[in-house]
Formats: sequence, C-alpha cells, structure tokens
Amino acid sequence: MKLNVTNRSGTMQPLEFCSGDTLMQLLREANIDIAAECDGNCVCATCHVYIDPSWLQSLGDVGEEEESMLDEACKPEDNSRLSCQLVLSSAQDGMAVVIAPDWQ
Amino acid sequence: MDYVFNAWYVAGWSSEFGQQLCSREMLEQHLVMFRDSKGQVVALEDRCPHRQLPLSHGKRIGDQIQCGYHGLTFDCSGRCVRVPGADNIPKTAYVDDYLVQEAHGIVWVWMGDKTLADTKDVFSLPQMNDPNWCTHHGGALHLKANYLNVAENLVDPAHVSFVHPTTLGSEASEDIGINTETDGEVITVWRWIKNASPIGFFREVGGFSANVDRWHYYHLHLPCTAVIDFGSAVVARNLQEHERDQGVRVFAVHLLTPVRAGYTIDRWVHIRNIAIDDETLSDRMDELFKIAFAEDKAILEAIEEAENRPQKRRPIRIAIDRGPIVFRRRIQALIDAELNSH
Repeated sequence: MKLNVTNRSGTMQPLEFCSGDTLMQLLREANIDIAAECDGNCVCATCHVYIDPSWLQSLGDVGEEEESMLDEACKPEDNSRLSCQLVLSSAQDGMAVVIAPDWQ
Repeated sequence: MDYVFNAWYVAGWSSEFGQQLCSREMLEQHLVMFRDSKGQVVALEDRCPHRQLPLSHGKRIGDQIQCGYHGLTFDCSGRCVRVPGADNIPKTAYVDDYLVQEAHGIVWVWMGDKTLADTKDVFSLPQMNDPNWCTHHGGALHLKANYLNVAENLVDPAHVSFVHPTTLGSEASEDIGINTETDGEVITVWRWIKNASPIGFFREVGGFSANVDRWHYYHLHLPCTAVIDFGSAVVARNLQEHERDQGVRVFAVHLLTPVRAGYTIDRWVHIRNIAIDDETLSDRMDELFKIAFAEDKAILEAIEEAENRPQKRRPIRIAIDRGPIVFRRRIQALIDAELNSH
C-alpha cells in the first residue's frame, strides 16, 4: 500500500505503508521535514498535513483534542489533520497528502 | 491581562483583616477591606466616587468609611450616607461592594457578577475538616510573574525533576510519562514513579530511606487553585491508587491571586496524614516548601522577563506539555464566555 506525499518544496513522492502505521511516524522515517515537536501527543500541531478532500471521510472524525490543536496550527484548512492522530489502513491506499507549511 | 472574574479569589488570611482599613489589589481591581463590628470582613471599591482618593486613605467611623479628602461617608454596602456641605445624597454617590466569604482561616472575595456567586464554590478539601489530617497555613509567595505561567507550573509535574532536585523531585522521574484528565472545572495531571529512591522531602517527612513508590497528582481547579497530592510508600506495600491514604500523603494547596499583569500571590497551605500533632514537623515542612517555591519563583520571574523581550521564534511544545496546554485552553474558554456574556 502507498500514499502520495507532497513535501513543502512541492515534490511528490510515493510512500509505502502498512496497516497500523501512524502517518506522523511514517513521514518522520521517510525524512520528510515535519517538526512533530510533541512526539505524537497532540499538543503542538507541528505535524500538520492537508488530506486530499476525497479521502477525508476514510479517516473518520477528528477527535476533540485534535480539533482544538488544529485551531492553533499554521494555516489550517478544512482538510487539515494532524498526522500523529492518523493511523493508516487499507482504506488509505493511494491517498494524497500535502505537508502543511510551518511557522519557520 | 484577561482574567476569569466569576470566581472566588483569596484576599488574604483571616488574621490579616482587623479593625484597620487595608487595601488589596486583585485582578487589577483595588479593594478597601476591614472587619466590621459583627466580625464580618467587608470589601468595597477602593476609590471615592468624588475625587478618586482611595478610601483606604480615609478612616473608619463605626462600620462606615469616611473619605480622607472631603469626608464623604460610605456604609458596608458601598452606599454613601453623608456628603458634607450638602443636604442631598446623589444616587451616583456609591462604591461597588464585593461578596466576601471566610473559611478555614482564609478570606475569599467574589470578583465577578454577584448574581452568579455561590458560597458552595469557595474552595475546600474534605481533609481540611477531618481530625485525622493536619492542615497548616504555610505562607504567601509573591511572584513577579503572570498568573497563567504560575498556574501552568502547577499542572506540570515534569518540571519537578529539574527545578526541585533536593526536595520534591529526583532524576528517577525525568523520563516518566504524564497522564492528563479533565473533569468539569478540574484538570488532573499525574504520574507514579515506582521503585525509586525517596525524594528529599519524604526522606525527612516520612523518614524513608529505602526505595519507594511515589505519586504526584496535580489537580488544577479552574481558574486558579491547585491541589498537589503527593506521597510515598515503601515498595513492598505495593500501594494502589485508591490506597494513597495508607501511605505518607501530603496535599500542597496553592491559592493563586492574580494581582495584575506580571504579579501573582500564591498563598499555600499544606495538609498531611502523619504526625498530625507535631508542630515542629509543620515548621520543617514549611522550610522545605519554601526552598522549593523559591526555586519556582526564580524560574517564573526569569521567564516573565524573557517573555517580555522580543521572541525570535514560536515557543516549541513537547510531549509533557499537555497539562499546561489543556489549562490554557480551558481558562481561555472561561474568559471568552464571560466576555461574550456582556
């Protein structure tokens, strides 16, 4: 299974994943530039990504904590998610993800 | 600075309020306070409606305050009862009065909309009324720091390992994760450190030397009261969460009064379940807490200065920040709700 990830410089790359992988962890292991300051604890909003809107539903609802943190993310959009909260499954095979801008 | 006004805040220990007029600043409001002839503490706006002289510069005449400039006189409800040189008292001659409650030797003032005040909300812990526990008034820590940073420090067990290495923390807890839970107006952040050498505080207070299981529960009662439940028990006891009373258990209660931006008073009380009649232990606990709280003061005052200088980058947030972040989000929601209700 794979995702199509577009990094901040606009380059798209496919990323292999297994069911149960957390997107933030996957991005980190692929050396894609995300700060993920809080290490997946949903308190920093620096693992912020945009999801191709047609895949949003497959990821389920945004949790309360994530929603609060998204308010504090850099340039949040309707298709914003925090990648630390996204556990991947076969339902995301082929999903397109764009790394959101950071403050720095 | 924004504050939650609809809450009870501490004006001082009961012993601070006598016959003399005294002034207090809380949430950037100035109050004149005294104890009336019936023993009730009175709090009024500390500003004569005429020439703005603080009424605390005036004098008490019975249960009334006479302004020190032109003698306008106000009763305990803030109503003007005399305007020297005039027969009539205009209805605009009044000062605001505040609701006051006194409990456990502490004087509380309701700073917001009086129709929303409920005396049941004055902070209390069941142990304060329990003869098996000793409640002791510690002291008042004055900090040149804003109340949000001070309160945040009290939902943050992670700093203890680094800031209080001789009293409340140790290296053993540096990398132990933290749990956070919110229940109504109370945010709880906690962790257990199992099978570790006792912290300095409990070597003295509990007489521990061998390894212990110890706990730290930080309960932040919004807006500004923190209860830190901490204790230790020998490892062999295998103490469970609900059995904490069987260990050596101490509550450090911090009653924060935001005075103004950059100035906060933390009045602290401690409560314990061992050697409850031992006054010298109370005094020794005061000394240990004073060491630890001076360490917090040094840090919080340095942060206040640093935050007031231009920042190059957004402050980063790390894994142990959940308690402080939940606190800031919740208190901002309370502030916003009050602003929107006006």
